[in-house]
Amino acid sequence: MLLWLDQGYAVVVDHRSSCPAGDPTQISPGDRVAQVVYFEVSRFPALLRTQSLFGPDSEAVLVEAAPWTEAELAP
Amino acid sequence: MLHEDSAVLAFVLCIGATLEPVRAITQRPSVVLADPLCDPPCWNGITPGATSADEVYSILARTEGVDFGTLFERIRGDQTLQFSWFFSAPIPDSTGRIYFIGGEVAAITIGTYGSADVEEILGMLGPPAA
Repeated sequence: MLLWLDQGYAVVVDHRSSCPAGDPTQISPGDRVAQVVYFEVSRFPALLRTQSLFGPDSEAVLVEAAPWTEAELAP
Repeated sequence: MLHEDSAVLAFVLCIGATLEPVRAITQRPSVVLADPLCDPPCWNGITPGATSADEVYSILARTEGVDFGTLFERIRGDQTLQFSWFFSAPIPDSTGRIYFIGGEVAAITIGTYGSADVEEILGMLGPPAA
C-alpha cells in the first residue's frame, strides 16, 4: 500500500501474496493497482496509524468508523 | 470428433484475436486516471468532507459508466452509510464505494483491479509519503 497521509489518498497495489501492515514489499512501476482510496484525513486519524483502513478489511473498518448517534442508541 | 473440436477451438481463438484489438481501442482509461472534473482527493466532483449523500446520488446517476442498476445504498436510521456500485463497459474499473460519516463523504474507494498500474498512479499523485 502506498499512502499520501496529508493529502488523503491511498493506493493498494495488487499482489498475489498478502501484504500485512508493517511488512514492506517491493513493488515495481508495472504492478497492477487493486484499489485507489480517497479519504478525509481528519475522519480517520486513529485508523491511519494502524493502516487498517485499506485492504481486504477496509469495508468493515470504514463502516465501523461511522459512530452510532445517541438518537440511534436510545430505546 | 477431434477434428471438430480443433475447428471450434481455432474459431474461438480467431474471434478472441479479433476482439482483443477492438477492446483495446474502445476501452477507456481508469476513472481514477481520467477525471476531468476535479483533482484528488476529489473524484468525479465528489469531495471527502464536503459532498452530501443526496449530491453523491445525483452525481452517480448522471455519471457515464456507473451501472446505476447495481447501485446499493446502505442506510442506518435516516442516514446513508454507504453507496456501492459496479462500473460497466467501456469503463475498465470494477467497483466503486463511497462511505459517509455524519452525512458527508468520508472515503471513496475505486476498485481498479488492474485498470491502472503503479507508474500511472504515481504520475498522477506524485511520490507517496509512506
